Amino acid sequence: MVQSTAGILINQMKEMRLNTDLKREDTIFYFTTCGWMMWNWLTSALSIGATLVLYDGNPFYPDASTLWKMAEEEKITVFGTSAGYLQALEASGIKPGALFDLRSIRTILSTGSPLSPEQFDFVHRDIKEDVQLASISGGSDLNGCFVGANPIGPVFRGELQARCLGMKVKAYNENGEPVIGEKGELVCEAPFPSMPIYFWNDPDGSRYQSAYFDKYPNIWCHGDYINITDTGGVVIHGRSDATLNPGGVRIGTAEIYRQIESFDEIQDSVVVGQKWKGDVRVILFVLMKDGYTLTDDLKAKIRTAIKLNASPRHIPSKIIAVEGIPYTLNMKKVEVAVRKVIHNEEITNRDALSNPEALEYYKDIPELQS
Amino acid sequence: MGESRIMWEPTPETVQKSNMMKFINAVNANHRLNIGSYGDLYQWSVDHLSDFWGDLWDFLEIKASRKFDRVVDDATIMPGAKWFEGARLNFAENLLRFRDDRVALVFRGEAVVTRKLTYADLFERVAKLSNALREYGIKPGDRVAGFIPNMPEAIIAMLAAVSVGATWSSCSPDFGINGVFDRFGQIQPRILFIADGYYYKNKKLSSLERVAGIVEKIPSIEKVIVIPYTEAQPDIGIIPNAVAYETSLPDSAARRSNSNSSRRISPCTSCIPREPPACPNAWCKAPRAS
Repeated sequence: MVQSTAGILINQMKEMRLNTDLKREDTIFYFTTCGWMMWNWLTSALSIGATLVLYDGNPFYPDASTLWKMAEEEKITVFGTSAGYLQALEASGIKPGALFDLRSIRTILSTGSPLSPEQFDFVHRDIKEDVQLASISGGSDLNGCFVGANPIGPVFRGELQARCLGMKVKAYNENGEPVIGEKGELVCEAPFPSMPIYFWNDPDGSRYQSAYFDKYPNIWCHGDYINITDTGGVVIHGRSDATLNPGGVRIGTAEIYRQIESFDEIQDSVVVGQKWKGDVRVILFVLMKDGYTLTDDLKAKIRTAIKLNASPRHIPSKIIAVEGIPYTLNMKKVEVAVRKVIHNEEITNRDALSNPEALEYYKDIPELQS
Repeated sequence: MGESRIMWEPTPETVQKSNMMKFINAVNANHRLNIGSYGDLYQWSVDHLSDFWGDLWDFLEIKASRKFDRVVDDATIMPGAKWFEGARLNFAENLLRFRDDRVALVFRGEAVVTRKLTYADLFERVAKLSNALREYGIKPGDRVAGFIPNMPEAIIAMLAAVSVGATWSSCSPDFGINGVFDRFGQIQPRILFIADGYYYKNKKLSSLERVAGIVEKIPSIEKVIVIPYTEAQPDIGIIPNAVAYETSLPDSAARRSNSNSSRRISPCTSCIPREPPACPNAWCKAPRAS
């Protein structure tokens, strides 16, 4: 993807200056590598004259408190991270708020994957109570956000604060109609400066066209499954290409993950849809914590929790224990890769995974054959 | 549903002092409106795209040697709308507005390395590297790539590259070799910046052999610039066409910097090195066309 200078510049500066309310006296940190767009995003903070903090290495070395110790030492005011990191932090048991003086932090940004309401609770309870927790979302394709932080408005539990200025974002239902208070496809109805100007090696623009504009002509379809609430906030239910459609009812994977989070015995999980007898069935893979096994009793509890708190449609047909869950280098769960493996399809992008060997656990699983 | 409760709200003072509120005031003044909330501002911004992005350009004080002729040609076509036609600007110049002693970058290399660079340090290093790239012959449209940890030199290299109009692409050194080849093989960079290695869980990991393998597969790479990180003097001999970061400066630039006159002589970062060099900034010290 090739993006223009002015487009990236004005959009990133908008997000820094307006959305993040960044000023010279701020110290901003984002946990990232220079292979992820958040690195590009962070560099724009230089235009404000703020101090940028760069961390390279494992964020859990020597232990889970590392980044928070650094936050105290460098008096970080804006702390940027991912939902994946916050999940691992919570699982570690460390409570940064009790260990360090985090008074300097006024804003915590989170992106990469949906942040559940329970994770909002964790941040306010165990990191800092009086802090603006802004879950933000966009893409490398725009090198910025469709939905982001709003320094002059409230944070509602479980919601991203607001659609970004100049981004004509809507949620389309299955008939292509914009809806409020209902789940739908995230689309952007009007152009914005940080759109790619072209794709490399795509002389007739057909690859660019099919990446975003095939579903609704002249409208950018982003691949996220969202709900715009009546207060203007947004809830993200997952990637739409990972959306499950059992019996024709659409389910965002984040809705199931949210229920699994409450089980102490379970370290992590991944949900995919398996093609089965002309329909799709929900398959839940779980990574157990050390010392725990996946018993029939636990499976029953999981199903009950999902039935009560999500819906009967969300209940997995199979719950299977695995030894590892594949993630990208920037801590996003790779549902699509797991789905391909269980359908014996080829994986083309193994090198973007931080643990490609984990895909082996999903090959030729006997329970999926019946 | 009883789900959505408020977990944080800004104080009235925060709201008044915010950049967002200042922008709202500017928009209200420019267009004689009465916007009082983010929601109203958002709605106005998507209903008046041209006014919004135009006002924002001014509010952000975007530095450009030439402003746009119009904000957008046709905001109804996707893709294909052309933004800010006629504008001439330099990304690095916009990011390097400050040249003072405030700390710009704090670097933590796991538990091993801590470094701080001021805005003055950052500008000087970008200027030196920018000169070096220009003197080497990097032109607008050339690609410069970085296979590099999240360290200050990644930002310095990016800014130097875009300051001469090159296109930048980067990925992190833990990326698999096939993935790197996928990315960089497509764009055919002329220069590749790397670090000799990186730290992970307190282990020193070397990038040198992997880079030798990558360079073999990407013949467009003319030079590999190796930044010392885990070793003070890494053995770069195994990589074809490798030079150490410090000595990548041509002799003339090194001599100028020794006499502390690099700032005086550096061309400004707006310079577009066409033939002949022609910079619109009157204060720029770049050699002019004769």
